[in-house]
Amino acid sequence: MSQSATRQTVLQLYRSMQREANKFSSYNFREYSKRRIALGFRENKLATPDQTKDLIVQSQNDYEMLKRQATINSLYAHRKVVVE
Amino acid sequence: MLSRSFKSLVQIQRPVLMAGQSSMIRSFSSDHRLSEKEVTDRILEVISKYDKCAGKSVSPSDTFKELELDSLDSADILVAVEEEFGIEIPDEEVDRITSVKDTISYIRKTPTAK
Repeated sequence: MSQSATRQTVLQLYRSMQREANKFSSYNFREYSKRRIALGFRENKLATPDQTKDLIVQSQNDYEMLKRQATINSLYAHRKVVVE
Repeated sequence: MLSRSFKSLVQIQRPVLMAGQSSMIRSFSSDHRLSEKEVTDRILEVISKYDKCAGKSVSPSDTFKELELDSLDSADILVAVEEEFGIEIPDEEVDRITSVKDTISYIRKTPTAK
């Protein structure tokens, strides 16, 4: 995979994960996952191409997990926390 | 006498009826896209709420680079803009958006933005 294609994949993954994280109905889960995604992607900004390949696979799994959890989270009622 | 009172009744009632109807009908063919000013204001608000832009003055002519935002930051901002306008920006469009102005013009030409 060329460098620009990798860049594209990573950015797309980042966007879809952030979008998915927004779907959590409970504030704590939502804010945590948004923060964690932002941090995780920035942490690995300087990773080598080989590392990046593994990281992409890893975050694709995380993305699937995020989707499942967001759905499960929306099935249950939530009371709003004070900060909301 | 009777016809006159009948006539005045019709005259009184009609404008009320028309006014009520026109506000209830919204034709899909009508152009109700958001005005440039509204779009600009709302986008600037979204951007200035972003952590890294706090305290900076954001103008519509700025590019994301000038605001010292990297590609991940602009992705964050576009997700926030998507949420604000209730749309989803396709990936190929996102690659083309590199400035505040691009964002405004994209929202302007998207009829589903609200």
